[in-house]
Amino acid sequence: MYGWAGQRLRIDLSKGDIIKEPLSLEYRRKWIGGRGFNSDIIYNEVSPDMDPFDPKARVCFGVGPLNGTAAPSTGRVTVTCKSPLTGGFGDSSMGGHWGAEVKYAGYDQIIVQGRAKKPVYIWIDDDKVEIRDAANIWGKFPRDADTMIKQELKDEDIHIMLIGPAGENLVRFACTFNDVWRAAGRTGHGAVIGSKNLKGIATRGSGSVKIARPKEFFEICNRLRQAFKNDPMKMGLYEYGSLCLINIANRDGWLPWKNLQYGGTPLANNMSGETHAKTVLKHREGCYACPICCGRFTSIKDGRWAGEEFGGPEYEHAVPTGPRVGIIEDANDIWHNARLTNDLGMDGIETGGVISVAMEWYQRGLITAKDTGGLELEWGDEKVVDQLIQDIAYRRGFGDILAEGGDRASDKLGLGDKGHYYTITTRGMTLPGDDPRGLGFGYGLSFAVGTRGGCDHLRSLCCLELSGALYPGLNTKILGDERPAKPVTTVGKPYMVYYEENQKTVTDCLNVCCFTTHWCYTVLTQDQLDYFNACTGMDMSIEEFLEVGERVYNLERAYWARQMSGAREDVVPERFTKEPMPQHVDYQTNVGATLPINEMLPKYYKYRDYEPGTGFPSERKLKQLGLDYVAEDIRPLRKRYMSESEQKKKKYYY
Amino acid sequence: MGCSLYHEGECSKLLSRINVVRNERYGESFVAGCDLCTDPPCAAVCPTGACALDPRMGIAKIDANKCIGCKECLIHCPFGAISIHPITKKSFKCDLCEGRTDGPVCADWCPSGAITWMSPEIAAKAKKRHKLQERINAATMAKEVS
Repeated sequence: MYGWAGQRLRIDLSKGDIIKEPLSLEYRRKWIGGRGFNSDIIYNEVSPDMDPFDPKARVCFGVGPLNGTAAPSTGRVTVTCKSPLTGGFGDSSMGGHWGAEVKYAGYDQIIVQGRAKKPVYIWIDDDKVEIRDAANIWGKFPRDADTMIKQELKDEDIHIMLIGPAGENLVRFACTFNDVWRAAGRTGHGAVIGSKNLKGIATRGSGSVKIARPKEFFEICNRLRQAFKNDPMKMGLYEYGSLCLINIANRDGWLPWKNLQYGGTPLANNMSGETHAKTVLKHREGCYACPICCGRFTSIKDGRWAGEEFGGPEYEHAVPTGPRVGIIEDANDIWHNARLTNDLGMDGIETGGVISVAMEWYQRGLITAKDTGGLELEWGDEKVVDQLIQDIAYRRGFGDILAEGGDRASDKLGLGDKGHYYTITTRGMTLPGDDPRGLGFGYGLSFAVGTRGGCDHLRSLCCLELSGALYPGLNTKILGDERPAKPVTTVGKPYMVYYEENQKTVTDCLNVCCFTTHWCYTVLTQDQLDYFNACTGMDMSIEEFLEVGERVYNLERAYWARQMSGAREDVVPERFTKEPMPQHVDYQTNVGATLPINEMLPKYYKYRDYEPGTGFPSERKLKQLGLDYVAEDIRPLRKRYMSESEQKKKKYYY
Repeated sequence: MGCSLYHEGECSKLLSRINVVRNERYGESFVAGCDLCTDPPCAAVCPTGACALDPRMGIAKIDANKCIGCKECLIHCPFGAISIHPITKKSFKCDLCEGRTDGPVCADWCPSGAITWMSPEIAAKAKKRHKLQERINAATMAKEVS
């Protein structure tokens, strides 16, 4: 078999069963891999009313046909489950080397279900799979657990997926790591893995990925890698990591300052990639087969955190526990917070998000020191942030409430609509550190309609709207129009988001890194199709290829529809529509902007063929995509969604 | 992966002639590959003559037909450049992608300059210049910081 390994591994922790299921050619062609396989399993096997922590709930790790090959950046894994944070469909993906290792071990997907009686970890040594006792590593940071497992198994070259203490304590936004520092951050599957008493999956693969047309495949890979040498975005990412965005974000007014009340801060350069590279960067790192190498390894040299070392940070990881909570003066505080969320195993975005919203509640007088157990939640107080991060991870005091996520915490504290106004979330998940009033209206639309809630930059990743300066003419090449290259405009954005969502989905199905396809526009859809066909020996057309993306996307949307989430929930936080962007930095370019989301939504629905009333995928579209059974599932739900009792409900999470 | 694909037509880290070993926790990594010895110990200890210096390329090469899989070369190579084929169990190593116009795939594809390939004479010159450049960089950075 070429490309794929051809089987999935299913592990039932309750019964101790280990089952290997073959994947037919037809199935592989329909879903391609990674996110496609995972979404299919979650849709079919995890019912919408199941508790995410139910032992029957599934958590899937999917890799694609390209993983482990020489194509650019093929080390990614998609992790999917029913999210404990949003209560709906949740997936996230991570880089590192574990994805390739799973493939070499001979699997396209790993499904974990059931619940072990005591803490365990899984040891996959090619076709030998073992469930092993994890009593001594339970409670440990990923970096320590990683070392201990490697010592126990007497092999330093294996790759391990792990959760941290937050996952064990069922923090609703706990995440998973592989290779110690590479995180699949969002939607809280770390808690689902923790609820199964599973600490991690250690993997050793000694197989290989067979290539259908090796010479052609080598030539394509060679051409793309040569192209990366001159890619302007690659140079920025290599030199400064994703932190290269800090100064750009500050100029264009999308760097969150104090829970997105402002779009920047005059001191932003303190934490820019340029400053990071000069002060604390130990060296640069790359994931598996990566031509970009945007990873950082940081070593803090002075101040009270001197001696701390960790892999990271990224833009999205550093901003939430930095400027979003008002910390900017001493960048070492920001690096320390990022290190802490990593070690404890929490999503940095959500952690910073809930702390910053609590600070805003405090600022507005919605909560006082009485509610917080004596903590004075003043903006920029590193001591408080440091304390709260740890309290959340171990569910102590006020941290226990915040560990439920922003919207649930608001309800627990009884803050009503006012509380929810300040939680910058959609469908229960906090938006990342990108203010769409400056970053671009396409991003704003993507936040509203994304299929994992709070859905952030990784659903459409429509960097096309930022690409004007770096890649002139790119928008014309892809969308047939250069006007959408301007961020703060609605022109062409609905189609851009539609196109980029399908493109990003198919990229996730292949499980290659979207930085090769959406930031550095070096690997375009045609290139992806070329290397996919050369690797697997298929003869897919570009239409069929993109249709897979559309199929997966609609399936995920249908999952939300089954949970009574549709058009009424396609909203962005009111702050973006009601509060014009204030000026906080002298040279800020987007003062006064609001997000005209309602101008874009109807057009986007047309491209997607969603019903205007419910926002559910239309029956016609589902049938065209070969999803007849999904059409059957949601047919009776359309009426229910439009019923009066449903219309009255305000849904912040599910 | 480029190495394994170029030589074997499939992708596997066990079939690669060059490997990066990593310690993720401390963020350290090391490239284990052939260092192009002038007097290679792998060739010196080979009992069958399978491993011998190719004077034209300046690298020791292993003839799979003559190799008996005794692993002497593996033991004596100071750089971990020798690998054992997972199926034939014989030794194999880097051959500088002989015949490829753009030089070895690993160096050609390396995004960070961690792997480079050049003649020893040029490398020696570059190394001298490199030390000087380091001093200039340090001085410039000190100026910028102050």
